[in-house]
Amino acid sequence: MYVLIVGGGKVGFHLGRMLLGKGHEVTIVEQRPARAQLLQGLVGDVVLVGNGTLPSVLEAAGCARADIVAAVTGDDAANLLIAALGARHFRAGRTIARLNDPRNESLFRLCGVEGLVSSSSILAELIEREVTAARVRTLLAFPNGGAAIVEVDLSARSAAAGRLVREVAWPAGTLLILALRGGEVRIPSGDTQIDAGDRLLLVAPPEAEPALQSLLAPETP
Amino acid sequence: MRIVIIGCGRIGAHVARCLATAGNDVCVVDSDVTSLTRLGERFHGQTVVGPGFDQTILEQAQVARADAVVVLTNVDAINFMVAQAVTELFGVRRVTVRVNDPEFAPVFAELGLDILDLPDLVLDRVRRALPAAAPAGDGTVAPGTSR
Repeated sequence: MYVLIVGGGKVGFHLGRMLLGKGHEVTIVEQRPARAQLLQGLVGDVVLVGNGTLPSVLEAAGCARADIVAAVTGDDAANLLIAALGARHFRAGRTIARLNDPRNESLFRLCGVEGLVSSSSILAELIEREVTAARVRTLLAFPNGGAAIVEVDLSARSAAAGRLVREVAWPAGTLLILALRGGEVRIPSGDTQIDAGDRLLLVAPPEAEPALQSLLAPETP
Repeated sequence: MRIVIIGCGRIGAHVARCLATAGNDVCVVDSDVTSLTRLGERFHGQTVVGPGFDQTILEQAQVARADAVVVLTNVDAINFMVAQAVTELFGVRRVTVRVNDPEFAPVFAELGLDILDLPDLVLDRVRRALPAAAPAGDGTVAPGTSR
């Protein structure tokens, strides 16, 4: 796959290094000459120096033949323009834009940016997971908001503790996908027994979270 | 007529002053408060400080009821984002966008923007000032050549 990365900051660098490690063809466009030189030393001869919002620079970088264009600069205006040019002018396979300021999210969506990665929101969610005592924690929220992957530690007070999966009255729309016990990863079937202390991962719509909490981690038995 | 101008550089300030003096209801938006001083003390229109692509800033500027929005910053990516915000978030139809780097003129037009192609306007005016015999080209520049 050919991936064109625009923006050679920390995100662009790590993305490029990871993709190169997996054997993909990569170009990183970086505007600052000193940063570009540093990148060149770190990832090799895949760096193009230039302003990645300019059509001529994107063309030189092979935007039209890119399977993926990833606009990951620290500037939302640049990322929006790169995504628009990649999708609508160069007709690259797929465009992904980094959203730096979550306040710009609705605009990016209205402009039809397909892959939207909100770095600040992801960080905020991860930190929230660490600092809050929420018993049902969101690991991954799908972009349309209809469902999320959540984790819950099964409480000894739960009626589900010690039961087989098929004996538990799971809230509507939820699906148990993993049951972790210590270092052991179990893909559950109806005959899997879940016990207190197991970490359960489920797909669940947001409205099912209170029901999941009272089922799996109730405050009182 | 209500006219919202985004970007209060020398051009934005000039346009705002003239349109306000002519009797229009003018609002000027700029992220830098000192830029707005270019309007001078006699400017009696509205001013809003903040990025022109931000929804709350555009709400303060009441773009939804503007008859026209003119986007005049000297950064093309910002102008593009402002134009998208004004059309997509507020449904304004008459939006004109300044082009700074001539490369963006054809692609902005292709992406549906009404462009104010400053480099080309200057070129056109210079051509007309030249003696008739001077070779003046057609305005295209080979890619990669310096500007």
